[in-house]
Amino acid sequence: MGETIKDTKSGKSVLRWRFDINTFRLLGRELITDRITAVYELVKNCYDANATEVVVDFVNVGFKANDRKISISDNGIGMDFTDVDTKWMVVGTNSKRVSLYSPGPFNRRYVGEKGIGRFAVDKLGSQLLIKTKQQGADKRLIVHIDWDYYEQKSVESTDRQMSLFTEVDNEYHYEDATPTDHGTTLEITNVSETWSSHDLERLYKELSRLVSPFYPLNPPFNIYMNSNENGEYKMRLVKPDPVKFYSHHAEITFDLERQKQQFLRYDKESGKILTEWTEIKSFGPVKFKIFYFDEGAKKRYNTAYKNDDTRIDGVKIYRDGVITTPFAEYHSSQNHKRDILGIDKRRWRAAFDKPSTREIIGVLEIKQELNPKIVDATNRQDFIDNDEYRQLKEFILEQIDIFGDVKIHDRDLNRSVAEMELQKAGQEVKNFSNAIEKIERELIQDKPHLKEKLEPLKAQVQHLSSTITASIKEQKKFQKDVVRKENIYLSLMSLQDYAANISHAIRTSLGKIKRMAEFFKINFPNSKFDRLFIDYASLINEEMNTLIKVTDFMLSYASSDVQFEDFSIKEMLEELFFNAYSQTFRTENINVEFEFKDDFIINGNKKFLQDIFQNIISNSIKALKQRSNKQIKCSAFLDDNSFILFFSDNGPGIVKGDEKWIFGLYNTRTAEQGGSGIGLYIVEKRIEALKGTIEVVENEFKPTGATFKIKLPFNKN
Amino acid sequence: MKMESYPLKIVVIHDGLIPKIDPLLVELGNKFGEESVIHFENSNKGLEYVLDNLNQKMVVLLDINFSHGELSGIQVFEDIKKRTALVYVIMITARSLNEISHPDLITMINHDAMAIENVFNYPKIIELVEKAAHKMETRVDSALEQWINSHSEADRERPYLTTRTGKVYTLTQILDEIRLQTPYGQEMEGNILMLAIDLLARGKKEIND
Repeated sequence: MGETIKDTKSGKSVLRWRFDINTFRLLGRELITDRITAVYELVKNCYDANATEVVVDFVNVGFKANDRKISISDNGIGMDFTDVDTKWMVVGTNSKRVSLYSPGPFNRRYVGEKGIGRFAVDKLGSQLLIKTKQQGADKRLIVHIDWDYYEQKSVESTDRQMSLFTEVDNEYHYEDATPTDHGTTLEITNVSETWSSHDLERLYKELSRLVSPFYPLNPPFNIYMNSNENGEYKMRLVKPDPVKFYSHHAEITFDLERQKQQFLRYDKESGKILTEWTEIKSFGPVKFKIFYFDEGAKKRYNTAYKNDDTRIDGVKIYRDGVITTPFAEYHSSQNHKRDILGIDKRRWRAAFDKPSTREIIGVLEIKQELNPKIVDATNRQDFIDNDEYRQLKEFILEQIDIFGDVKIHDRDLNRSVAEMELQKAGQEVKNFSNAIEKIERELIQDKPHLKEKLEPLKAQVQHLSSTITASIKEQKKFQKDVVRKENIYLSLMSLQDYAANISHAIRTSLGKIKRMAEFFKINFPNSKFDRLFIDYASLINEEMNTLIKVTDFMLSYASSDVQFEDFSIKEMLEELFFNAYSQTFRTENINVEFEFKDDFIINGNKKFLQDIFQNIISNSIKALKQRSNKQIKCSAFLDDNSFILFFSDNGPGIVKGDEKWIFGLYNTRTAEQGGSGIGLYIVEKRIEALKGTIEVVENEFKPTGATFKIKLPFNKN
Repeated sequence: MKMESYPLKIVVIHDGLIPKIDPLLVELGNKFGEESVIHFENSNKGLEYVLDNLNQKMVVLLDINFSHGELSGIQVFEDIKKRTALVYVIMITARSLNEISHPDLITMINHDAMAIENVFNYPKIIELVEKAAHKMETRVDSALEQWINSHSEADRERPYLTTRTGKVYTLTQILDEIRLQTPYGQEMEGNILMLAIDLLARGKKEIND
């Protein structure tokens, strides 16, 4: 806290703060890494102060001059003397903020970080004039702060103890003002760096993200940028760029009266995105606009915006029209952005078909009143991790995934167009060749000298024809190769996930072993612990066995991941049911029905397919643990264009609404029994790699049970 | 008659330990008494216990990763620190430091996590708990507790202090207010410290004089 005293020499009032300038600057550099962030943070403070207008003014900042000035003025609530004294200069942390909302009637959710203002100002320049006034006050308070002076004092001080806390006096005085005026102006001079037009543009772009581009803010928050040097910024209102050049667009809303939420659905037949209605979700109703940029659209976009890739920047969440704090931080590089919603993390997991943050601009709107369970975490880095937020994340990802389907559709379409063109060219060359032959037959008799001229033409056509045929063949081979590579890649991807999870399990196991071994080392021999020594010895043995199993499994991948072979699904399943699992079925008392009407020979990796069924079988065994009359049934048959497999058990079944969710990574309802949410994820991905599908259908066993339907198409290309 | 002092509780919230017989739990029981060590594998239940027993002296050993559907270690940590600064929290994890996200580390540092230690190293963890226990003993609330214990039950239940607003507190109630970090408790804590320093400064070394 500061201290107010009268400077006897000058007779001016001074506000005295005591602190260590070096620590202060060190802290500041951590918090405010660049100038854009500095201005951005100061403007956020204006929002928090209930301002409806802010002017960011740059004077002579474009070149090295002595009179460079940046000022930020707002018409917010302003500060009184105590505010400046006790709040503005006090190093506070965000968590110390008592209230989350600005004073009424605005009650805005604070977006600025408390206590960051001074650091921001210091980043911009070394002299500061704070001019501030609250409504109704008859005077305006003017405080002058000189960072250079602080630094100088600190350097001058030879006493080490003194240098830790430098006492500095800041002059202040009052000016007459109109009582109705209110607001704060920060005038920064001795500006440390020049601001080029590129810097102003970066700032403009960043400020334009603060307020939602689609849903107007009420009361408004208008930011103006002004520069006396740059004609583009003459009291220019900062507003988001209209989204242009996108290839696909979709939008969902809600209907409070009917209590319905819209969601997106991809229609495979037409390749179009449709909207449908469902119940409002646990996280409350939301509006969501998504713009998707396919490759062509990205190219057009990059040409128009000179490869400025920070514009297509994924999904952001706005609350009541203002950006929520996890998204409110400025990052100078796209690579440093945090993937709050986990869009990209998921993408590398699922390989090619998931849209990335760099292909999407999304704006999700929530409201304080309608979405009370979506709460910013106190460290501002994310939202509080509760069920509602998890469901919101899932919902967002589901909507984005729709564009993944579009991506696949478009890619397949392009491929088939290219294939058709090639076929057509082949046909045309054949026609041409026939025409030449006809000419040869009909004309050569009359004009034999033409034969000589036709010969090279004929040879050329033949050459062309065989080249095209070879191309078609080559292309088909290439396609097959792509599919093969995708499959291998997908398998490796799922292995990567598995590795991440398994390494944690291994470390936990090693931790246990290490602690027990250490206990031996410290305490052995000690008759008091004899019982424990024996227990530990067998536990160490058990943990080691687990570790061996895990590493064996990893090794089996290492040796088998690229081997493709022809094998019978029926034989493979018989092996599993009647050899591998027969003992378990017996001891668990599970009655197995195995009905294979047809068989199916598949070309692929046998180990991967085995994994699929091992996962499903072991899920069923777990699900049946508490049952008395245990049943597992596996049946299969061929239909017109695919091989259909049903897999059922009479366990407790899958909770309604979870039918799709259970295939997501780490999604499990059996965490208590050691479920990790990996199995069904791998199952789905592997079946997809075979161009097949898996879904939960109505259960065969009544009253409870779960039935999976697996469909493998005949021609996976 | 002597009042039972609140025993130190060591609350271990961790799902990677061997229940009951993990060496860490055994050694903690050895050092601090078996009844002092409470182990929770579920973070939600662990947090509930801590928040329900804030009037006790407590050291919490907290894991960072928990199963889905349970609060993360960081959330448990934040929730404890929101209520009190008097509980020492030691984070123990199988992860290495560079696997913990920066925001999480910042949160732990800003809210004074006592230490972040690898779960492999249990002797080090025991050392940390001993340090925490020692720190706790020298704190105002513990000193006050000791002093209260040296008095008769009648004395303890006697109204000891009346505030400006007229509310009456017994010694035991003052102790609870401090442990629960209520505004009154915090004020009282400050006052006791100031008084102690004042007495010392005036050469009055024995407060009981």
